[in-house]
Amino acid sequence: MELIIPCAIAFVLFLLLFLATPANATADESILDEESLLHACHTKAQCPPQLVQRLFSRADWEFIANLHSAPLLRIFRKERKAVAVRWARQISSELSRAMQEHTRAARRSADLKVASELQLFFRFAGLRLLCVLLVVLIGFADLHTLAGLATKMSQLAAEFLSTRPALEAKSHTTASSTFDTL
Amino acid sequence: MNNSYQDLLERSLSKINGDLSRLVYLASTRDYNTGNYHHEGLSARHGAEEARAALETAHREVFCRLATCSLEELSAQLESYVQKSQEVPGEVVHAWQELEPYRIAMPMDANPAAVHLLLSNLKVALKVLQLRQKTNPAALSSASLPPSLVR
Repeated sequence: MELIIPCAIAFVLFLLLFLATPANATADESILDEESLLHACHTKAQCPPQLVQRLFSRADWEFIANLHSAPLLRIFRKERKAVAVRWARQISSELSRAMQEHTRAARRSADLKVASELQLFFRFAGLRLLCVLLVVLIGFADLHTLAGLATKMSQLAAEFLSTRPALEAKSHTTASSTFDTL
Repeated sequence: MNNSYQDLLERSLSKINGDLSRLVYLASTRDYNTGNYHHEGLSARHGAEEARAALETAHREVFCRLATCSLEELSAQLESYVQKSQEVPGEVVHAWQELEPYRIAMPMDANPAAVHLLLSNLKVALKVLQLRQKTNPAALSSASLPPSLVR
C-alpha cells in the first residue's frame, strides 16, 4: 500500500521523460564494452551501466543472505543503501551543475528557442524528481527491486548530460556572433 | 605507451594472482605526495613518462574490474590476498578493518560512485572473512582461489 503512491509518481515521471526525450537519444542502449567501462569509471560525470547493475544487484544480496548471518545482512544492507543514496545524489548534483552551466550560456544567447528550452527544463525537472523519488525508495525497498528504475534513470541522466556540449557550443556561437554584430 | 603497457602486463601483472593484489601492487608504485607512478625496470626500458602512463592505465583498468565485480568474487580475492600475505589471517583482517589501508589504493580522479562501491564492498568482504574465521577457523588457511579468478 505504501508503495502505490511512489510507484504511481514514478510511472508518470517515466511517461513524461519518454515524451520529452529526443528519439535518437534512446536508440543506442547497448551494453558498454570494457574500453568504454574504463572510460566511464574515470568520467566523473557519468556512471557505467555495469556499476549501476552491480550496485542494485540481486546476486550480491543472495550471496550475503546465503551466509545466514543477520548482523552481516544488516551491515550489507546499510552499506549498499548508503552507496546507492550517494550515487543518486551524485547524479542529481551533476544534473544541476549541467543545468546551471546551460542557463549561464543561455543568458548570453541571442536566439533562444522557447520550446526547446522548455523541453530541456521539463527533462531536467523530471530527472531531478526521479532522483528524489529513488532516494526515498532506497530508504524502504530492497535495492534489487529498484534495479530497473535505477538503470533507466542512469541512462536518461547520461543522455541529458551528453546533450550539454552541443547546447554550450550553440550558445557560445550565438553569443560571439552577437558580440561581432555589436 | 602500448609497448610499456604490454611489458607491464607480461612481466609483472601476469605473475600476480587476482585483481585485488594487482590493485595493491599498482597503488604501491604511486608516490603518496605527487600521485606520480614510478617503476624502476619499466622506466629503464621505456622511459619514465611511458612507464608512468602504463602504470596509471593498468591501475585504472584493475580498479574498474574490481569495482564492478561481484561481492562473492571480491570476497574470494580478499581471502586469497590474506592467505598469500603469510601473516596471521585474523591479524590482517583486523588491521584492514581498523586502518582501512585499501582507501589509498584507489586511482586518482576515479568516478566517486565507483570508489564508494568498491570501498563499501571491501568493508563487507572483510566482515564475510571475519564470519568465516569465526564459524570455521581453519577455512582461511585451507581456502583457495577459484581457478576462474586467476587471470
